[in-house]
Amino acid sequence: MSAIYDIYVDRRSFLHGLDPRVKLFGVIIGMVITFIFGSLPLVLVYYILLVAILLSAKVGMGKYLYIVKLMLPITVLIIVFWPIFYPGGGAVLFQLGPLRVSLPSLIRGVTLAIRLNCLAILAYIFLYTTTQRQMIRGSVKLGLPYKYGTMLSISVRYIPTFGGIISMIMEAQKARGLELEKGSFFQRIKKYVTLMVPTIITALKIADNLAIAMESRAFGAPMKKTYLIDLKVKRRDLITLFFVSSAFVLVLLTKFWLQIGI
Amino acid sequence: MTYAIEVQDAYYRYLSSKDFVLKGINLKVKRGEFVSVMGPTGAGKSTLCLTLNGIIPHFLGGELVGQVRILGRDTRCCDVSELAQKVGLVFEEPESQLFCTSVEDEVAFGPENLGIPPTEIRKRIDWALQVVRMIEYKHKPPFKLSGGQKQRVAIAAALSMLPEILVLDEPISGLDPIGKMEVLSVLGDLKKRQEMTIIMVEHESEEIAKFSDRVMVLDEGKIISDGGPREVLGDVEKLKRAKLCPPQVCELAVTLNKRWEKTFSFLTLEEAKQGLRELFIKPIRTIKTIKNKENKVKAYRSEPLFYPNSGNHPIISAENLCFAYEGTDNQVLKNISLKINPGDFVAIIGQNGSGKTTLVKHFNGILKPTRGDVYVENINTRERTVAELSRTVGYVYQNPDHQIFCPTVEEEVTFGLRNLGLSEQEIEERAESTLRLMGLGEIREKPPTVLGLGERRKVSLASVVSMKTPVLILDEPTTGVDWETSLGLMETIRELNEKGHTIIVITHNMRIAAEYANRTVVMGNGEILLDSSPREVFSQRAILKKAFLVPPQITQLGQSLHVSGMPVLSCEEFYHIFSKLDRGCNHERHL
Repeated sequence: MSAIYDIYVDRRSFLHGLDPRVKLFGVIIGMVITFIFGSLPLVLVYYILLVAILLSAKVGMGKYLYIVKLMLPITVLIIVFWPIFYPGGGAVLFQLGPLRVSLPSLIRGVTLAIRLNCLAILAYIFLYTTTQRQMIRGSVKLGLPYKYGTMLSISVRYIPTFGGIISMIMEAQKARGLELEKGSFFQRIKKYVTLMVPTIITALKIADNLAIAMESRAFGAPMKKTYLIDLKVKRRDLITLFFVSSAFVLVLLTKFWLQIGI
Repeated sequence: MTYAIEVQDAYYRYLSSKDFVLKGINLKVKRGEFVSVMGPTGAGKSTLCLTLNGIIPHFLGGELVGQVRILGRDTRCCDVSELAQKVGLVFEEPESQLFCTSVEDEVAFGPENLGIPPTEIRKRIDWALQVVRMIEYKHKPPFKLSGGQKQRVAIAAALSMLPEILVLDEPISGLDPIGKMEVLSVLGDLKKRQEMTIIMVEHESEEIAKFSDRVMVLDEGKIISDGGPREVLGDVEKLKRAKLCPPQVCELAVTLNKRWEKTFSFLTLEEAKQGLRELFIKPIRTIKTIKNKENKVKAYRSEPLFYPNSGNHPIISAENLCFAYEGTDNQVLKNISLKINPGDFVAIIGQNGSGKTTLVKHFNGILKPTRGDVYVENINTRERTVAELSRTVGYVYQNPDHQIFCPTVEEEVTFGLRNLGLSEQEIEERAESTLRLMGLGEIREKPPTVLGLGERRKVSLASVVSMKTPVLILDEPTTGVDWETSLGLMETIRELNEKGHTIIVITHNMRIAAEYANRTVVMGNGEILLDSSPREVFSQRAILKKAFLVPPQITQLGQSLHVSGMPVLSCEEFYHIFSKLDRGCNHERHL
């Protein structure tokens, strides 16, 4: 069952071969750029570009749709609520009682939603193409202590595991007649306790055993650690670094020096 | 000579516990010895394992009295990373001991921490993976492997630190029969070829008998038996007092000696065959003849003749059921047709991945068929929700921790009843009778999370039983609990069956399939290979072999002794045959 819950996608692609540090740099710059862009058409183009980059890693359409599905609730929420809470000026599209939905506020809502989707895709570009080993190695090379690097990547490794456990717990409670979908808001919150408690207990048990297993394999030994595979900066890393940096400079120039509203 | 392990008067209590868990352990293990440790749940076996590599006291704290010396060195004087190179530890749960995303990384983790140069690590990875026969899986993610493969990776991960001692805490108890064989044969190799000192905590005495040089029984923090396997496993009474399950052949020898004044001593199936062969020269057709006399069959246990799939009013029926998980083409169930009749006690056996759990999840509607139909009480499961079906089909999950969330046992038992929307009075009555039936009355006020595994299982079983569903499904109810507790659980389930509940049990324990069920379904590769009475099923040796299933020891013994006709299912039945044989009246009457 747990095989379904795997984040890293094992393929050979340009992105897979990149140094994790370069990839992390690219992702962070990409995220900053997301916030610089303000206009809807540009954000849309940017979104399409990111999807293209994601698909270039040969992860398959399903993995992209997975992100879309994951982001769907928040996307819908933002598009619906933005015009309500930030009515703004401009032409009124339609009115619902005291609520006035204007075109600019709707556009801003959609833009923000797409931006968030961009962030998600950027994060998944990194997660889909970077192995746990590269993650630890990259973060340690960037100065993070080894213990924290390991902790970070192990937590990523266990996200799918806990996903699996939660769905198992949900099944187990449903089999006892629990109906999560029924009842008032507060009743439903109460029902989620039936999932929370077993999840937390199971997670704590796993964490306890994990700590013992790691300790038994000399985690935290006083000697200086070695690494099976060391990171080497390759040509593709330099090219990517150059490309990402110049794109960033270009965006900054247009926005702040030329003062063009993008 | 220094011993591999030397423990002197060791007492230990955890930081959080008042009482000592280990109470005066004295133990000397020679280099190259294979020692098996048995003991009921809560005896302190895991605690003992953790003291051997310094996790206790260095990592877990608590109070350790006495001395633990590994290869001559006191564990108090060296830290865990130093001990890790002397003692490799392997645990039961794959989920928490395999935390990397490739097999190679998993095996490299230890040596990397120890600062071993990369070229040397590479050599060690290849060596360790070869020893456990997993070299071709080097670049695979561990969580995609089968249970037996995962456990072998865990062994390799310990071996890569080049320990001289390997300590395994129930390495095979969560595995299916193939997985068990894989792991045990690797351990056998390690002993023979690498001269590894091995300490293995294990329940299954029949496997222990084959591999161990020495067997220890731990009970309540003390070693109560320690000696050669023949001596320790042969003391059937003592094992049973410690809630353990002796090998069936040992039990047989003891009873034969007592009832018929023989002097047998069997440790393995082979020995029993040798010893009894001369008494069984002529083929005997015992069971068949007994079967003709109705009352004699009753003497063992009720065994109605029945014809699977023939009942007119099945409570559950699957018709041409096919199933594949969403987004995959992999057919987990292939065209399954099965009728479960009211009152059946069905055991479903087969390897992991053969589709057992997937099949029964169709019975309570958690899964819906990709093709074909499943009917519960003649209504298609597609038309009903899981909550509606939960009134007819109760499902007890394998891990009780996935169900338990209430502050007391009593509330846990009433949770399902409240979901059914019963009246307060009805809820109280049912809770009362269920607690009584399951023997949970005394601990009704306790929080279920602090109970032992056996009791937690009982609580999760009780919480489903109280719903009085006509059908009860149990997924591996006896995994991880000692034999006596298992028998207790199975007796309760049998009682429920006698009260009219239809029971469906998934199990890897062939004795449970043989001695409790009245119908056994063998699954392999998403198909039903056999579906009949246990007697009929266990006589189909060729098909069982194909599904990698091994009948209970006593059944195998009967088969190899040319008892033709239907096979023997329990020790009791074997005594029955033997008593006839011993009176020297075998051939005339039975041929």
